[in-house]
Amino acid sequence: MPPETIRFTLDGRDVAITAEPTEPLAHALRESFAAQGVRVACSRAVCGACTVLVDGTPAASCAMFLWQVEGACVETVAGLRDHPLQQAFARHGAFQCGYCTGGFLMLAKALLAENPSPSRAEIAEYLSSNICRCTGYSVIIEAVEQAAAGMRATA
Amino acid sequence: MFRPAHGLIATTVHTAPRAALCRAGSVAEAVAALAQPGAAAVAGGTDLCAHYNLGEAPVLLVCLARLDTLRGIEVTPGEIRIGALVTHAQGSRDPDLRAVLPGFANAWAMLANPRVRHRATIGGNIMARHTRYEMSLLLMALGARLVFTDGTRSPADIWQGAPGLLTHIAIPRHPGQRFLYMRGLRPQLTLAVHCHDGGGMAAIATEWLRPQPVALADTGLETLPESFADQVISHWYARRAGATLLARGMEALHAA
Repeated sequence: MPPETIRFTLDGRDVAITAEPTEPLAHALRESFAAQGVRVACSRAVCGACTVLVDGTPAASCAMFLWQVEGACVETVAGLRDHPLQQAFARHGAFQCGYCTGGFLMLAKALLAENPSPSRAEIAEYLSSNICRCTGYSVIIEAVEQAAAGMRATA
Repeated sequence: MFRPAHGLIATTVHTAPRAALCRAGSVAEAVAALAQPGAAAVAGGTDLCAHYNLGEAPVLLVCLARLDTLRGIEVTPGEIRIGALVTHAQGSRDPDLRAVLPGFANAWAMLANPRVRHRATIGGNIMARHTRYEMSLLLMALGARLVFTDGTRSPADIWQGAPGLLTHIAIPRHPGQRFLYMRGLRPQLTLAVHCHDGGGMAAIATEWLRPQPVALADTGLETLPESFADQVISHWYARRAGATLLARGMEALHAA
């Protein structure tokens, strides 16, 4: 069976790629679309570094096939330029090496879409599945709190 | 991306042999495709990708996404019918399910992380047949039936194979039905309690041991099989801790 051509929207632009059925979404995003903000670490949907949004909901791009996003809207951290979350992370220094940051930003975006006014505990619970090995989580949570407050104020 | 040579570190999806893709347009087409050697079902796909890391490499991926008859939750006076393709996020938030069995909806919301909850399905959780996946435990306590294209099984029977494709799960309804899942001791021990005006059932599991049913009257877990033990928990510990969880669960459900 020949490889399929998969069409989807990536950070607002229509894209198409021909790939084998076993091509993971994360690999295609990084290697074919230069989406280097999508990081791969655990390769089994556990660490959160590869988090993207698919039709608005969070997904582990390491644990889904490229063909599963046929016709879908895929968002990566590259689409968050100047977003309140990005600005809040920068203001709070909510990163150190930065490897996990793209995943945190995308999961935080999903959280605020579901719940624009999360409590600190709700933020911690939602983001608890993403792993950071150097910054610590307090500044990340504070950044999300501040971004949420800013987004509510301008809504 | 760093791509180690085949066998250097571990198998991954990158080192797997080529596979074909079948986007099944009907349940019958899916069943026929899955009957082929080396075929694997893909619903959310989150578990299958992990399987590549364990060395599995299906040669035919059977996509179930177009099987809309396997979606949705229907609540009738007699049962709750949950389609096999309902995701954890959809199921745990379903207003009809929350209205009739909120304890189960709350338990469902505990499974997996947000990335997985939006992709992974109840059918995949069951049919992955991993002891660390918790849905078979919950459904055992609820006395649910797993309905396949060629027959019906109880959650205890899935480890021996399946008669076709899982289409839906049927949870019987009872007057006064309440449910509680306790996973604070996970991974060592988890316990689900289901009670209603006519009786009920509990079920116990660990990260590594298959779920076992527990009668609510068996307050000391006297009938827990001796085989319910491993290098992590002893049978004695499982009985003691399980009995404590069962007592706490019953107390909480009666106080609710």
